[in-house]
Amino acid sequence: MTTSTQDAGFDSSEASSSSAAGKPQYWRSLSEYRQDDTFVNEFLHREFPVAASEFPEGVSRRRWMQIMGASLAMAGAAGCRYPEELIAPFALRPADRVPGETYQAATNFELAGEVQHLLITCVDGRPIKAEPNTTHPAGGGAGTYAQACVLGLYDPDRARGEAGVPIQFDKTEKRRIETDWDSFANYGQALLRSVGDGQSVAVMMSPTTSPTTLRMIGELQKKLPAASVCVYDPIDGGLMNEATQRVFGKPAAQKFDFTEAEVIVSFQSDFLGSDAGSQNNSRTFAAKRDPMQEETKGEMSRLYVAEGGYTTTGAAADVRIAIRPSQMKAVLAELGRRVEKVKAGETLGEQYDLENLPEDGAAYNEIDAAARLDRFLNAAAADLAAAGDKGVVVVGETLGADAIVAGIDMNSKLGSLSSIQTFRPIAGLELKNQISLKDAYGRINSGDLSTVLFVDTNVVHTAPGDLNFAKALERVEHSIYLGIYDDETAEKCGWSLPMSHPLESWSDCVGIDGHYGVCQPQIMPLLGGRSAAEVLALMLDQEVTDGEKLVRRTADSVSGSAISDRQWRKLLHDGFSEDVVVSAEEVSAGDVSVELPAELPEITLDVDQDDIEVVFTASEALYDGRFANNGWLQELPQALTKLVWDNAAVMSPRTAESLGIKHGLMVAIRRGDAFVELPVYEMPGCAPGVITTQIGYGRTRVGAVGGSDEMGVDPVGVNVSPVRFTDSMLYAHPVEARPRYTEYELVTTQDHWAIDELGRDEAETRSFSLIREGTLELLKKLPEFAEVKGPHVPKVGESGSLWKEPINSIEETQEQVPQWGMSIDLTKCLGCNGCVIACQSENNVPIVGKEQVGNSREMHWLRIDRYFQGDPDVADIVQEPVTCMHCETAPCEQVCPVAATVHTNEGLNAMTYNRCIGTRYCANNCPYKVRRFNYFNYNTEVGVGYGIDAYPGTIENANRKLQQLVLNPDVTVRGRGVMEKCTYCVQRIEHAKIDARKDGGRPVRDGEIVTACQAACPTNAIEFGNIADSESAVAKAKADIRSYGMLSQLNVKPRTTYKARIRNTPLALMTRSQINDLSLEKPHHGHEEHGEHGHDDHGSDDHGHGEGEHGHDDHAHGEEEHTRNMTRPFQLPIV
Amino acid sequence: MKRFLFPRWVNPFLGVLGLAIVGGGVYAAAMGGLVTDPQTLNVGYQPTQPVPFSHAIHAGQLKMDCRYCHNTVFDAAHAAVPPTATCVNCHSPAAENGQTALGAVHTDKASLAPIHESWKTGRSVAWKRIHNLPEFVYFNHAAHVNSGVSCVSCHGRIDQMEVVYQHEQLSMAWCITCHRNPNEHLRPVELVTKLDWKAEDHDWGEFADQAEFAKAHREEHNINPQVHCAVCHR
Repeated sequence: MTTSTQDAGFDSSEASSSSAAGKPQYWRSLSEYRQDDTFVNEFLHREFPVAASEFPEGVSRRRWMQIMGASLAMAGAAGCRYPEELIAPFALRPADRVPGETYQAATNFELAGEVQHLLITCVDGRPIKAEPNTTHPAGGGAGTYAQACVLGLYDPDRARGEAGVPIQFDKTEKRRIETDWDSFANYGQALLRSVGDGQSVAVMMSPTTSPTTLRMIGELQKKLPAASVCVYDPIDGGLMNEATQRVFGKPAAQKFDFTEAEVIVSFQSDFLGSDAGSQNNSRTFAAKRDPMQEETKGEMSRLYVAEGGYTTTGAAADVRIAIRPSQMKAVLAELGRRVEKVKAGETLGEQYDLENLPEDGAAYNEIDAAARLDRFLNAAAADLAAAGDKGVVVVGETLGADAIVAGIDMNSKLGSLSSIQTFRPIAGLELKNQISLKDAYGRINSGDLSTVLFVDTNVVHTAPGDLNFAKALERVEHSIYLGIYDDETAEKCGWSLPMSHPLESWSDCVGIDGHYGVCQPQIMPLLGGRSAAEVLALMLDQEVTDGEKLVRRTADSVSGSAISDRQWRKLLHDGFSEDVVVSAEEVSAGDVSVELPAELPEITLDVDQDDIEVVFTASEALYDGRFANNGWLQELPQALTKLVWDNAAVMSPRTAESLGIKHGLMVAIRRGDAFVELPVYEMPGCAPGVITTQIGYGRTRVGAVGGSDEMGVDPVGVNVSPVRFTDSMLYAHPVEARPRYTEYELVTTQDHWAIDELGRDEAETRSFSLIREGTLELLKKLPEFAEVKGPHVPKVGESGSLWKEPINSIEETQEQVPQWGMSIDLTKCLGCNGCVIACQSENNVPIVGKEQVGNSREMHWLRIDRYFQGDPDVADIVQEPVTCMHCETAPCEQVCPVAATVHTNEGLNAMTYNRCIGTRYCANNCPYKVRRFNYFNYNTEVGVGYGIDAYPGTIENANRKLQQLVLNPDVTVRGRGVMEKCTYCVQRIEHAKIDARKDGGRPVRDGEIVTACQAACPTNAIEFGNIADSESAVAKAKADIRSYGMLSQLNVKPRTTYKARIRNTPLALMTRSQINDLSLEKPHHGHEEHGEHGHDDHGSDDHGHGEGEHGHDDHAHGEEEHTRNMTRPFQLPIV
Repeated sequence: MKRFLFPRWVNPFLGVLGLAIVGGGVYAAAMGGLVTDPQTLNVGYQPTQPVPFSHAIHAGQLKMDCRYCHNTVFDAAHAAVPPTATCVNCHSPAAENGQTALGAVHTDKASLAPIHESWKTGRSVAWKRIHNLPEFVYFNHAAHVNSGVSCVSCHGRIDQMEVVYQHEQLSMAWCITCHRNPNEHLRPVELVTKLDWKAEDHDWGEFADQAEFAKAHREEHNINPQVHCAVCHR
């Protein structure tokens, strides 16, 4: 008894003393920052949390025995030879179809409020991957939603009935019956004949640019001139339209082009993250974020971000300040005034230069909140004034129409309106009788609307809390719902019609730059769906109801004349045509004035529990909830929070403390009579009194993944609609927040795969070296800072080790062999998660479910590490994608007892699944923690993956096997007991090599191999190729002076290297650590530094030669003396 | 307590036990070493196909090129089994008036019924797969034939087979033997589908013999077969 108390006391004192010695400079979570017991015991000391090696709760022991018994029986029946397989060739093979080979087809579609120009990879007629169509003039871009939509295509829960038929609510029998399209046609046509001029008819739809759909609605209005249309944006309720109406006289869509922008000031906008257009924004933004570019060396744009929560844009910022959104308008107005002052010649605030840096206690993170804001505004104003028309202000929709108008006005004054920020009238303005959601609701309740057609808009789930559509719909006599899922709204409607998935239907869209694009189906409707235009044509009893003909007719009218078959084929093949562009009238800003606060409010860090602000954002995973049944998206670690399978009330630790709650407890948010309870997620760097939460969660009727009352599957996350009101759907203020002491298990991936840093000293020396960043000032002063900031990399032997490594003999004997390598630019990486989904989609990475992720068993091959720097109030974020580094001297290979992981002569750390016996030694020995183990047959038995039969009651349901069609046939599907990890997309490498072989055996050209993550990256942060070829893009990237290898001091020689992140922070706004960095000095590796290692006890004459042969990891240690001094007794890397 | 001793009558069973051990050893050796050997398991596998298609007649006597049917072999991983349409080019079914749309070879032969059935219904003919590698092996025909490895190297003299059977082991050890030293299997690329071709009868022109040709051919086309795992296992 006594002993144990002593032990406990000893532990805690040790922990406290070590943390007193210095908090880690970079930290990944608050528990790491505070050195919580949970972090130390559960994540640091053991790779997997307690009880991680137990069976999932969903599978009982009994079920387990059944599974095992079944697999044994299968083994017996299978006999010795492989099972007999049949080959079923086509009766008539389509032209150009090569069985088993992948092909790509261009398409476009609207997804989650954004037009996507995509290339869909298909094999044997089934789409398996979505990638950006980079040849599109608008620049391709495939965000997480677009990439994950291929999984949604094969979602069996889309089906109505077994095969997908319309469902009708039978009013006499009070139950829903399956019927067919003919019955619906009769009903729909009779209905439209009976409603007179359509006074009582309304169409409710999501915003769309599709000319065909809009044309069909126009046709409907021709027939029923009094019919009304409600275009409802479930995210912001049309705030941007309202603002642009005021400025330009008509609703317009916003587009940014940051390629020329020098100064960007963002107010509560997530234009690089969850806002519409983020793919385009990211691409153009990144173009100006390369300080090493030849022509513009040493220049990059500067991004100021003021925001309440923490967004991807905030993480990308050069200077960030946390401000409550309620104070933001005043800040915006003050910025405007200060810009004017600077233009008038005034100098604001104290000026700093390299000789005169902010003294102790006066750095940006050390001063109080009000002074910080003052300094932020001074610098931003000075920069904006200097940048002139190269400066732009971006205002987020959260702040409301007034602020957006003020932002446009400011850009107009700066001169960047219509160059950096452009507007284009939205589509569908020609539709008559447009009403708002609130009007529609009122008219339904007053009984004015007796016929409502819902087109792909799940209002029951997404409508704000003050509009109870579930109840209102009972009053509608004829309600027809057309949507992908038989969801919450469909259930309340008289008819539920299956809508075809964008990948299986004909449609069209207009890109943000005006290019007309056809959405061509990649596959016939799997579950009997039809597109919106087809259903409208059917109801209108038009001659043409075929999707392709409907679209082609629209294309004719868009191009002005009937387009030829040849043009049509080109339009389909390229995904766009320079000839078919929808011209839009120019919009010109009228004179508008906005009343903005004249003075800055008082800025404090105090939190009043009755004066809390809530910011609602579109879910990164589910958008407005429509992707709730998509396992890839549910399990995607959300940017910054790294949360999976949940939404939460994200708030700063200070806010949580003031409210008397902490991470993992519930908080009640009350607004008037409405309230919701949400789990608390403590996130450093959020403004005090601000809660950020994601909408779209809490689906009760979507399917086996996202939640369904009918199937007995609990909803995922909490629906926050009750506290969203129609007047401001993105923002609620003031609300009351009260603690609830119920615990809730939030599952994140942030503490997983902690690189083992036993001993705080060691952690101190290592953590900052994992991720390296510096300011532009530092880069100019000390270009080799990335090397200086890292630990000393020992150089021993010919190429860094005592013995001759396999790679040396490869280089000696096989000059022809390419050496693959990767470089990731941390300055360009925004942490958008595009690569994570791309990797999952390409490599058949299973979905494991919340419980398994909680046990650290997520299977993503690529993770994005997120580190905080600073303190919980003023925290910067740096992010780093981490995947297998393909170490040349891979530690995993040395411990594999069965040689299942071995090196190829091209430098790949190959994983041979069929050899693996699952010892997991390799994962233990991997310093980067990038190996993933299949604890179960995730694809079939556990998890929510592709061929799920783990759901009770659905085991016999062969339908679930439909999801398996998304699997990439070029990558082995791994089974239980097998280790896996990033392969550098070896299937793509081999594909390129075979293509080169077919081409006469030439070498693979640079750029021919594009890994999945690289293809998806909107900012081109990832380069991949042959590092042995000094002319290749990747070799050039690695030659960049910022290039460093993570943990390269272990002498593992990672093939993936990083380019250190550069922040363009002005001197006045630098944090203490950034200022301290400026005093770093050139590497000298003097005797003092290495004396303790006994530099002279090791033969140094081995090292005088051979330097520099490894161009890719040579750290420019040239000098003889330097080399000698680096010698230290060889010791095994202890990790 | 008394020690337990086995009664005397148990003794004869010792011999049985000994026999079992020896027999078991022999059995294990036989199973592991002979029965499950790829030579025993795979070579000679000759399932009955829905249509008794004779490669000996088509490829042998009629000297049809392999690529007439297996036309994707130079482009793709799979040397695709031909669609029914290919068969129908010559063996089209007779219409009611006795006319055939395309070729009229053996129009009414009973054994062609599955082909004609497939042609009418559009359903596939269910051929049985003979050369079947495990799912984790990614063999690519194009990579091999484009390098000058003949069909015959892996499939044997298909042109002499009345019913096709597996001629080689297609085991990993067998693959690697050739990957380590492919020279004897190389020939000019245009001759890979000539199954009766013999190196010694070939006019080598500028080269002294096949060995010299192979050396030059590998040099020219950069043929250095790899033996690491990721080449075939992905």
